[in-house]
Amino acid sequence: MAPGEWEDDPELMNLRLELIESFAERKSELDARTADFARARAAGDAEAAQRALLAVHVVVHKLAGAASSYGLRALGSLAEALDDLLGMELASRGESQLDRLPARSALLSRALAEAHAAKGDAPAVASSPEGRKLISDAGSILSEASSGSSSDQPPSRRRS
Amino acid sequence: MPKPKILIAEDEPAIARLLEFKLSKEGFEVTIARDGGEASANLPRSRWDLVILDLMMPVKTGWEVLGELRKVKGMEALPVIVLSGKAEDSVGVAVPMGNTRRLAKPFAPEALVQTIREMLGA
Repeated sequence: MAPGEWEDDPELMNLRLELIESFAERKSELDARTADFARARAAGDAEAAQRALLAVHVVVHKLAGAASSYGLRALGSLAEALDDLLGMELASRGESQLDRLPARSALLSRALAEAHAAKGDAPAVASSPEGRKLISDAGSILSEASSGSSSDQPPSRRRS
Repeated sequence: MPKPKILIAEDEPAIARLLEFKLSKEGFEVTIARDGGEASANLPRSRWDLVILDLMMPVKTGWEVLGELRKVKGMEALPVIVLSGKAEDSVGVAVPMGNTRRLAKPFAPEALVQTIREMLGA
């Protein structure tokens, strides 16, 4: 979508504001599912941790697609980065980085809060050192996976 | 001239609304399915000109819906666009199922419209 098209079209702006309004609920969901994951992992319950991980991924994946589609580039970049990392994790690609999930999830949660409060994007969190690191980490792992990929079948969504 | 009929299977309501808004403005008749199960149920209910499938959906994935669709008589060559994430792309997913193209998210709505027009020959 061309820059300025959002601002020039009241209907598009209304759709975007509806999305931004949903950020409070999405933040709560992200926080809750991440807490589920941390609890299950601490308890050594691998099955519950896997379920919670999938639930976190669903929240993040949907946010990534929505934020980017609506031109919220900063928030979208962060969500895409975490979505990519979780997608690779669930496809068992690359070294597991699940220890970092709670911190990364908290970062995205802060970005959601920023965007909701600003009724717009989340440039402060995205440009913070932690935000840049998350985006960089995702780029690295995707690049590694792409160079080593040879499969031509749909990927498994779960670790075997 | 009747409007081309497009079925969109997308479980993220914000994206579904945006696609519906853009494609309706471009002259397409759009129906939204909120998950893979609803998409499957909608397939026989109309004569679709094109189907758009998100890959990661509840109930049935986009791949599962695509597999079902290709087994339906008359839909073997139906134009289908699958919407995939970068991670799904990076693990080397091919699209072996007929008249199908993949569009990686996030995508510009204009790119989607262009792909639709190319596939419909419009």
